[in-house]
Amino acid sequence: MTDKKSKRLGIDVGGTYTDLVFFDEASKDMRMAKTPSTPGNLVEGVINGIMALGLDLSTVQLVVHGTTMGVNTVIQQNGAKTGLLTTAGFEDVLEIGTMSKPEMYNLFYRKPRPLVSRDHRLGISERMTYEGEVLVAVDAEDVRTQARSLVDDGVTAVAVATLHSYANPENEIEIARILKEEFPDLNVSVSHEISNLRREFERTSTAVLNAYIAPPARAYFEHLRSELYARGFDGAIFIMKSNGGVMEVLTASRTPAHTLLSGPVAGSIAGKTLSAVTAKPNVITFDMGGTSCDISVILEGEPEAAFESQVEGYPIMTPMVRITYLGAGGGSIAKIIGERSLRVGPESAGADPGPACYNQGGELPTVTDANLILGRLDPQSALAGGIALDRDLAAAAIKTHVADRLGMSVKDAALGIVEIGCVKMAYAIREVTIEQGLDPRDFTLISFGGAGPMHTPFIASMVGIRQVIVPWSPGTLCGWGMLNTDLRHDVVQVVDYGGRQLNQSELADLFARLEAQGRAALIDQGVDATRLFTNRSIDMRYKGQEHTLTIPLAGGPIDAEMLSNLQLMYNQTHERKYAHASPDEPVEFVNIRAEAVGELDKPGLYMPKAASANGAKAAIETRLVTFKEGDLPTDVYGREQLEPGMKIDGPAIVTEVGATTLVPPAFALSVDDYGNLIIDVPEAG
Amino acid sequence: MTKPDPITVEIVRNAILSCANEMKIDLRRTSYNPIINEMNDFSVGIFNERAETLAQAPGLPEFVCDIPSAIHSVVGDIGGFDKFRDGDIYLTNDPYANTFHVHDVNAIKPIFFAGELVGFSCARAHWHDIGGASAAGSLTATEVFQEGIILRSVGLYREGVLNEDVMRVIRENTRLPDAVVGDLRAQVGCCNVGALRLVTVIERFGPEVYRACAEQILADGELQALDALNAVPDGAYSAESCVDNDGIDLDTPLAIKARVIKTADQLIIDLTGSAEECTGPIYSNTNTTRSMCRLIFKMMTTPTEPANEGHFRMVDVIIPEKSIFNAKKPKATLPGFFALETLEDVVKRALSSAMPERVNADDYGRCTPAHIKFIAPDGQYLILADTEGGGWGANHADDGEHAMLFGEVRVIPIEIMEMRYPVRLRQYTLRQDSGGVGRFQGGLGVIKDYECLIDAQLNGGFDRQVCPPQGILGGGEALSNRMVIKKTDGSELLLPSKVTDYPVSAGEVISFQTGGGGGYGDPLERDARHVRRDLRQGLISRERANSDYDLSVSEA
Repeated sequence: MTDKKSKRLGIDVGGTYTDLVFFDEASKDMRMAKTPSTPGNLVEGVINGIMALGLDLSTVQLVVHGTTMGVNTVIQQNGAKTGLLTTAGFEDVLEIGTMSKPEMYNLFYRKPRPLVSRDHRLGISERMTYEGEVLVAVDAEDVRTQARSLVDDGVTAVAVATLHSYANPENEIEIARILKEEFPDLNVSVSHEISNLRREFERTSTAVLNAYIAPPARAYFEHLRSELYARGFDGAIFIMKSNGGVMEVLTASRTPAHTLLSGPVAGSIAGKTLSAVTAKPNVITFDMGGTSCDISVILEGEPEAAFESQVEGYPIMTPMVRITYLGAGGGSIAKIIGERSLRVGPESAGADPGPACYNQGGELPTVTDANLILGRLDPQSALAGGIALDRDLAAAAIKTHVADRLGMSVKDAALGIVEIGCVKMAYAIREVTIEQGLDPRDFTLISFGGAGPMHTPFIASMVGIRQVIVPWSPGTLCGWGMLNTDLRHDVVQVVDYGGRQLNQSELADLFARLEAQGRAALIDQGVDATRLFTNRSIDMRYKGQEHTLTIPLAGGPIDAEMLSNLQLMYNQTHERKYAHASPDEPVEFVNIRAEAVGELDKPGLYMPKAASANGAKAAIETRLVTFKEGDLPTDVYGREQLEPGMKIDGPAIVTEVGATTLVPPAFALSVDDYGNLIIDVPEAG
Repeated sequence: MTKPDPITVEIVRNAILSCANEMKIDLRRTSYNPIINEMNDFSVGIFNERAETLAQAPGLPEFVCDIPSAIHSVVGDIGGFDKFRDGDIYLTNDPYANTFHVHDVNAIKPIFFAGELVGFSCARAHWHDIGGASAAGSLTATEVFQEGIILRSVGLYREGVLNEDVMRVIRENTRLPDAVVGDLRAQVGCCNVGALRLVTVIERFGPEVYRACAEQILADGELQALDALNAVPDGAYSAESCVDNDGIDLDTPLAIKARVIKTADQLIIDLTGSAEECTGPIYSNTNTTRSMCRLIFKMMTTPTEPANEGHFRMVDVIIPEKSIFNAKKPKATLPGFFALETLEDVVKRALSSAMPERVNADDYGRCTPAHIKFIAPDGQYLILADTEGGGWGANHADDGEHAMLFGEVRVIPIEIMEMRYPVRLRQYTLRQDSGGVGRFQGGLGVIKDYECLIDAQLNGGFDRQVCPPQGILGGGEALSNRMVIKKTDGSELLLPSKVTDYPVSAGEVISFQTGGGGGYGDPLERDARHVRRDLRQGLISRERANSDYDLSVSEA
């Protein structure tokens, strides 16, 4: 079985762990590895993982890679020394921002520091109108002088972002041309190429983020490529994008801003595949790790899209899967404020020093410490990366910082800490869904990440969700999600300026142009034209409104019928999202969008091997686990022992590398044909 | 009543907070008016059966904890808490009992469980138009009747039945009936969501446990605030500032004075000595004044916790009978926030020596409401609304922030402004040297220059020119807000701090210049590296670096 084309490797480099998922289509061999991430040199962790898997890279056709490199660069503020060339008089747009103050009672609040310092934000004499007319042409001499002063100051990356470039990019293109001519080594990021939308602060911020991480991203991707090639690999490397698709590694080196929010997106893509396979079109994915959880909503089989978000407080305006981040995880710290008010999170012990039980110097009690005290986590089974858990340290931390101060037992305090953590996540899930006009009770919860499956049964019960799915290898699901992606390239055009609306044929022409642009971008990345298709959508709103909704277009020619269907769909979506619609109001088109997709082969769902020898429920051990109902003898199973069709009543625990699934009393576990754990949640009450 | 265990208290607290959050989501989701769903000019919350705040969702901080006074005013009008019936919803916007101005309308729903009043859900929102003399809202009215209609304790629903007469009154008294009625429906829906959710919470925990937890949440809040207050030495502390004028008599500043008295278990804020009266609209009622004092107290004591009544129990406010903080009908109140926001700075400054690590120096003067009005070639009336942020006061550990508003309010992007209105922006920059000097420097304001492409009229209020934002503990004073007209011949004209219908010709530039924040501590103690950095970045001039910070030219 050396069919080279069938072997694929997903590599997910996260903040704490690097996960690898290898799949061989021909033999259906699937293997996972989890190794600690290596922050100084992330490629090292990747190579460690490959060695752990014992892979012969020369037999691998395709690597799909998601990386936290970009986010790390922003968090650690160690990106390139970056300059900004912008319209003269507007150099401070990047620092003024939206002027919003999210912490409303905090008198000392500071906005995130701009990634380009004020002396490196320089104005160019040029001006575009909102209708795309050149009011002042670019002063070439100005560009040369300003760029020279940036380069002399040691700037290596430059963002070019001028007013109204979405309406006409001519001036930005001219500035970039001069830069290329005069300073060919400068890394240049041009705003309309990365975020071709109206709103100068967000577009500038996106271009600046791209410029800031581009040099380290290029170095990182080159390093990864050379390390993989040195080990015999000669296939393609695709990089995960925030929009749920992938792009070729060289494209990623130029536009790394599109990778910035890709980390948690792979989990949502995995959820999408699971949703299709299990025939559950409406699911919520819940990925809980050490410091945070990521929530996404999949409606009618598609992850919800968003077009703007933030990276460490810096706005980024690119197409992406909507992910809601919540600062709650296994590392969330429990503490008392005032006299006897107990709080859990949002502060986290993170991976370093980590929970008290990690014995790495952490003294404050966390949710993980509480789970250990309750017998839900096994102190014997060392976590990935070889961290053994110390129960005494966990007990001491909870006793000193919580239990003694509240006058309760360590066990009661631990139960409380976990319950409060779950309550907060439950409300977050509720709020994420009702915000979109959806009822969480209509959804199935897909739970993964190292800490997810231990908490989601409780969370589901609190929200009123009736079923939880724990997929195979929940600790490495994101890596698997990466093997279920396609190449994707988005193109957008603002169309509502000048008070004119496009007629039918203009609309058709513009779409044709955008679709061609999208296709060309993918063909450049090596996509076979036969496996390429495009999707179209329009951002619409009622005339005079501010917010838009993105409505997908059906296939086929753009004609009167399609346009009237479009308006109908807009009204329906508006009704769902905002609880009212105005079918008689005129609707306007704001942005038109084309998304080119280059299909890749997918592994499908892994099918577990046949049952264990006797087919009986073979528990590894029975231990006492603390629930609200008391200390109950609880059977513990190894995940690999569970075969399709098995049914187990709670309380029960399923352990596997990187995750522990808890089935509380009155909950019922069954195993489906794909080896997924299905947990039925009893009706609350 | 036995004390509930702290874990249940925390779970119930999260549950009630989530009720408030869901109300916020619902109101933002279903309202029509961008002032509500984009600018977040609203406040929603859950209150106990005595009308005390249990939880309020984040929104506009200025509204925090002003809703109880709205509930109390309805209680007073209908004759007691026992007059509420299940299914009632009352409206009130009485600017003499609660709210800044008639535009802020409260919807109040009593919540019943097993036949008993257990609390209230309320939604206050800013209505786009509620009648009155001017669509954009005059900043210089002399009577409330010029500002809009008053809905005082009006029963919109009685025992679940809508009073259509009230709907008709509202519809016929606004220039934007569809949007206003749409927003009102959203407020009603939002109150219903809050009530429904709270009833679910009470069902889940049982009424006894729920009530015990609700009491404990307030008691805990009180302890948290007392923790911070106990660090303040007993004594009396004073400060003062002023509002430039009342918009009518431009030569008479209105004094804003506070004497803050800290005793063993109380903080008393005495406003005696503040301006007693004026002709213009710089008035606020005693309840809203009290709320503003509570807000600033909260910012100094429990800034990270969501607000509940417990956080304010130790605050008392003394307001003289004759005072601009004690509005009496028919005084106008629309821009009364000028005085209230100045009062925040005064209270902070009074306490600066007593709690030096919890207050910052004066902020830029907050409210800078501005409307540029055009008549488009097609005869359509276009009103550009803007409110600009400025510099915030420095604190014991950090410089003040530049160019920032308060709460979740946002400015409209330039690219959208230019598309919608006949303006062209000439510059949008930080205003050099506008922050007060100090060991930590006040944040900078901004300069935003609008070229009017056709003739326009300007309504604007850029206050704090007579009494600019002050530094604390040795920090310097900041530049104040101002409006300047840049004429086509290159000359500049400084406008009075409040103008209504000021004519601007095509080609002229309206320059909004916001103030900075005050400085903190002795400027000579400022880290020389920071002085050099600010100089290099153009945040301060060389002159300032040399004279105020004593950075010698050779060193720079």
